Amino acid sequence: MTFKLALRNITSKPGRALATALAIAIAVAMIFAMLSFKAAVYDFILASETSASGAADIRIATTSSSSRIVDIGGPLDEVEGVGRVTPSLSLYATLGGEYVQVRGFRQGDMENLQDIELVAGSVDNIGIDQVVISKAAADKFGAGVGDRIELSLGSIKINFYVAGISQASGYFLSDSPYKVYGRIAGVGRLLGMPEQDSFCNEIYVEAADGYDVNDVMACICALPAYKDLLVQATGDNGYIEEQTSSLTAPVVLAGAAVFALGIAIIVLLFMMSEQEKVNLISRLSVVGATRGQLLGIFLAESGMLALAGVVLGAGLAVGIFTAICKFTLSMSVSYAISAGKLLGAMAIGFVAAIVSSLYPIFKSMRGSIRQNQLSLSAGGKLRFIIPIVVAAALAVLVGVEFGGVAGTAGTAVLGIVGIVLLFVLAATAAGPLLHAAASGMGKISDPTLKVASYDLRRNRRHARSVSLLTVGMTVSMLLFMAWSVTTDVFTGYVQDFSGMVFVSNVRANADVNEFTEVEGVSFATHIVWKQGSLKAEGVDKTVNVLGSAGALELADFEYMTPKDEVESLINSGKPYVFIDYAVQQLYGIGKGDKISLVIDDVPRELEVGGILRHRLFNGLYAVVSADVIEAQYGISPDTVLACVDGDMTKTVGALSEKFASRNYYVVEALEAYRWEMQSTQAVFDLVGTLAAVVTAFILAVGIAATLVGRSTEERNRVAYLNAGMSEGMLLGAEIGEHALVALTAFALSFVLSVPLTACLIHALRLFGLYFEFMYSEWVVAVVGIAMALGYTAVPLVFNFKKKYSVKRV
Amino acid sequence: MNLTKRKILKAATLVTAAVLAALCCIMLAACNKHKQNVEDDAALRQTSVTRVSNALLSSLGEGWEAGLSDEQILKLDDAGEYVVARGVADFAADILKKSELLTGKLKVLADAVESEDGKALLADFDSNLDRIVPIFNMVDFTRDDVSGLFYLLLTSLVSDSGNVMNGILARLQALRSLPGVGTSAGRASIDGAITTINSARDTLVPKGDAKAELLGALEGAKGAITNLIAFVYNMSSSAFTDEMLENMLTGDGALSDVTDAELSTIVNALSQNIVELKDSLTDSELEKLDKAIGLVIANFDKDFLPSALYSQLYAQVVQFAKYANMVVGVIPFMCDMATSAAELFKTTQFVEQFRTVVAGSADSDSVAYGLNTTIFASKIIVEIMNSFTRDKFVSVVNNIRAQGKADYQKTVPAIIIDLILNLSVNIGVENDEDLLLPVHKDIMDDSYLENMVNIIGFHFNIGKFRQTYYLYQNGLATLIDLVSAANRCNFEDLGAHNSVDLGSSVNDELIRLWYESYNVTGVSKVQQLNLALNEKICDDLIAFLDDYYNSPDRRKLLEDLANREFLTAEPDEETAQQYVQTVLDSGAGGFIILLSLLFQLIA
Repeated sequence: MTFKLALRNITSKPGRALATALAIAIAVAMIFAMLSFKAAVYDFILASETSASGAADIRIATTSSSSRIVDIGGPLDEVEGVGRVTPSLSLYATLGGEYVQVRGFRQGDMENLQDIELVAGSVDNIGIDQVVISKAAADKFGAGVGDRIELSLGSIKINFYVAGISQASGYFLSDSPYKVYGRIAGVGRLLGMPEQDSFCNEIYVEAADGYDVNDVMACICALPAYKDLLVQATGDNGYIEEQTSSLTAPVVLAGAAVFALGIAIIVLLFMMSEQEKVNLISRLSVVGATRGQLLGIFLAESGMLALAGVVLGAGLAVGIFTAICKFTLSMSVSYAISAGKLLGAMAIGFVAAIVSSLYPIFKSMRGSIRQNQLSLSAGGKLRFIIPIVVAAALAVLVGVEFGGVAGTAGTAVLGIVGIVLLFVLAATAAGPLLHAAASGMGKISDPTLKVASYDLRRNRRHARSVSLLTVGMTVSMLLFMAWSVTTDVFTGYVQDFSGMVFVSNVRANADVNEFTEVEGVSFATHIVWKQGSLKAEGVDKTVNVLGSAGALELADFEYMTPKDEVESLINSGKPYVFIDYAVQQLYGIGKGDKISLVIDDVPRELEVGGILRHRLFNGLYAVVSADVIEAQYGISPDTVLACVDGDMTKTVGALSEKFASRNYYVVEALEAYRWEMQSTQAVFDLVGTLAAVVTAFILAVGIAATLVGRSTEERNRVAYLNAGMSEGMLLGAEIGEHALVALTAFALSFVLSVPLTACLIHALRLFGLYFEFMYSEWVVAVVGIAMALGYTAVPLVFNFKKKYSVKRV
Repeated sequence: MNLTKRKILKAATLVTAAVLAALCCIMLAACNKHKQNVEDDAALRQTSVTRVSNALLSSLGEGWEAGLSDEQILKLDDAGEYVVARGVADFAADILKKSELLTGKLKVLADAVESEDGKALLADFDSNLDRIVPIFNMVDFTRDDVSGLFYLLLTSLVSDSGNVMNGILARLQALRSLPGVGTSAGRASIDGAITTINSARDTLVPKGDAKAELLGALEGAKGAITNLIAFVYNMSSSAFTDEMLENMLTGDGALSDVTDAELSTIVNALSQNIVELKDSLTDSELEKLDKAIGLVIANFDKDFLPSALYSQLYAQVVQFAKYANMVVGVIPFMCDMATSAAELFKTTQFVEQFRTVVAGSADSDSVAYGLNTTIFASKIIVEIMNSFTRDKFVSVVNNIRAQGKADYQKTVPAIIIDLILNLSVNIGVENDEDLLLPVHKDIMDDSYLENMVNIIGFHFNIGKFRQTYYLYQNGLATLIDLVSAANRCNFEDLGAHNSVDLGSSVNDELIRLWYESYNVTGVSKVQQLNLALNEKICDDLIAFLDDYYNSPDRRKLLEDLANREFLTAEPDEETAQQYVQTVLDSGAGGFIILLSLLFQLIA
């Protein structure tokens, strides 16, 4: 009987049941997306960073001070713990005027590290003059299987034939610059070497099963044959974790809000039909239903809806999230779907639905049967008091947070608290604000608006709708701001390199004057440009090491330590390092402090000689003189950084021509960073797409909630029509309601988005990201207006007028 | 079923059908595209080889265009040669088409042979097949391409030449049967070609068991043959050239300012070619190669030579086979010697000096240059001698001895080396007549060295003698040419006297008998003498080894010469004399001089 009643409740309003289930599904999908986002980005970055090394654990490579090529073979096979060894020859050449990375393997070794998934052609028995390129490269250079391409290195030009075209996976996942893969015997001809697979400049080693990679590396480093070569582990998990955290931090913070919103959606959804359920409970109580029976009915009803919703949500979650990842990040990376997270999202959705469905029973216990039947309830001044209290708390918090008294960590925590309070304010202030706006609208003489005003003030579902829409809109604005912040933060400083050129593959003893002689070059310096780890107490951060005193000329640094002092110290030859103000603020490291700077796995203690300030790399850089790097780490510069004050294209051309025969790679800094940023751009795309999808979800759920709530008011609409109101007027009133709700939500969320963004930026300091306030009002406005318009159009889109009926309900 | 449900079902059915239809279309398009790609590749391949064939044909004769009609062919004075050349060109095209060359390369080859440079290279192709190498270089042929192509040519000559000749013959006969068309010269040329092809078919085309045996031997020796060809091609196109050294040792070049370690890697890479060859020629591979070479020579080394291009194809194959036959037994040892010599190049100091010597070739008359080349040669010889023991050298000699017993041609390397060694010792003698006296008189008598010189002449001129007879028969050579060719074979000096006296009244029959006397009896006698010399020569070589290893003074002289710095300025007369005397006294003067001359030729 209980089950039958529950089923009858569901089937009596199929549209509402479907909307409820869909809304639950969407909420589950949103929760899952936010839970899985970081892991997906990690998978992608891991795949990109290890695209060259693939299955290998260790990479041995030549350096600027070692031999440029070495014999294949040697004592590696005798080292305990060494599994498969894959030598390769890697160099840069030009194809069609563009730099490409060319890599050669021995016969049969090409797929040792990565599988090559071909779109066309074959890599079996590839000849020495055959190569494999990516589909993107094939499209770019108009090359198909069997076509001839000419690669140039200095004055040497060699023709190759395309044997295969690969998907953007494996080696070609990170295809910027374009990759060309072939045989050592073929690629080596670009160096003027004979057609043999007997030499290389990189060796990839897989550790045998059961052996620790670090132990194997130590054994390799101990061999005289490799003492001058760089031996390092591939796929630095620490770096990848750090990179992932940095890129996903803004979205992770915003995702917490999405998470909460997802739960709130489910709760509010069930609350939409609260009054109807209370009425039903009272009627059933009159005919003798016990509390147990009532509980059973609602549990069964919400259980069925929730089950349908979470099952549908699971499919939606996996399908949509995987699709988003595949289309924005990469089609070929496998994104691990965590069963735990999926079940967690489903469980959260299910529990929230069940708990929400029990609220009407709880409410009915508070009122008498008559009160429940007549939907009488006390007005409740609490809904006005709560937002005022929250606003006051926020005011205090803002004062403390932005007053600079809390310290970096304190400010970050306050930022998070601020975000929470702002959402609470959005949720609680929207209702009263709507009430006030509706009152104002009621003063307008137009009868349509008067009806709308009356309904807005009388019917509590509108208060819930505006709360939901305001919070949803605010969350969407936050997500898009997170996308905007992420993109700006990681690419904004790139423009500062617009006047620079990298010349790499330079021997340490190259004369820098040869570069400044070229017309257009105003300054040139040898530089060691590497990534390192800055370690201090409680700090382990990856930084970009700018290894040259001349690095101070690269950008307009603000000198927090006097410039004279900095220049004097950096040229003293003593082990000083110069860090950014952001690092000082984040980690409390100041002038005179000792830190450990690790470069190529070699740690050295350096003293902080001064503080600089610039948005370069978001402050994650360390300036050290080249002499100190050579003395402390034994690393010689292999790059010349040239500043160009003339025509960039002409200067790059002149440099390329002058040094072509020496195989120097001349690349505009922006171009080099385009290569670096290519894979990160995919993450930006993911963030943007996720923001858009979640926004669509929120809007859909908001609309679904409205439809659900509206379905309980058919009696009221019939009453209006029976009283003589025209269908057009009724529709107008509904449109007016929607418009005012949307306007209220937009106004409130737009205002709150400013402090919300500020709190978000402060909160990011917990992730080691420090930067100044940035805000894109156009992003916020576009999101808000789009959602508002979408909500306003609901009566027209769903053709409310068609369902108007004068029949008695 | 209510209206809504019916609508939903209908919509679902339509959508499903549409999706299935779309999937089918996509699959069909993909399959079709694959098939289209395969067809396109086959068409491009055919077009390319046809273009190559036509270009080859055009290069062989004036007015020899592709696609001439029967009437146009018969109007050519050399109509018969045209038809034969057409057949051979098509045969070459067929080989290219069947080969594993990439279709893209065939297209590039076609473009190359149709270009002005390509036409210039093909201009003398029929008389100088070596022109093929620069053509291959123009189109980036790799060693694998060349070796694969050569092997395919070999097997095709065995398996398909019969069909090719039948096809040519059929065409010739068809043309001959056309009434009232063409010139008399053209028709005569057709008749001559028919006779030639008929004879060629009988003598040059292996049949039955012989064909099967030859194909089987070639199949068994495929690895060895292709490795050998690849090695030869690779060495001809990627030698350790001065340009490479220039790039490495100056500030320019991808591997500029090369270090000793890098130089070692480079030299190892160059030597790898040699190491690969040696590793591929195991005892069993050498045996198979030996057998295959022997069969090729036996089947194709004929007196008979049809048209120009055809004869060149066979002649080149036979020539390669004969050279290979001479050295096949000692290739592994020669590889070892080459890799040990390459060790010298692993220091930048030596390479710098080497470059200095090479630079001196600009003034080849300079005394310093000449002496420097002898110093360079000494360094090579000392490096080689220090890399091997006496026993190793002796085992190589005994290996030659064993092979020489079965095949007289394999004694040639031993003959050459022994001659040089004897000359090395005798080089300082005052009386020229004593130059050819053997050093070890207990092993050889006075006539031996002279016989050895004559045998060398015989080996390198017997083919020319046979060819001259054929040309004489066809009116393309005179009797004087024929007699001169015979004299160069040194038959009389080797005791192979001709029983036929040409005298004053010469006729074709007499000349034939005279030719047969030399070609059959004379050759047989020389071969017997060759085999008899084999033992003595090998004993003599071992005696020279004993001289070297038992004479510390001589070794020291050689090492002193090798350790000298290269001269940077012209020496005075006394110094020059001293150098020369040291060379002569070292006991290896012949080799030193030979190597230095070789170096001067290359530089």
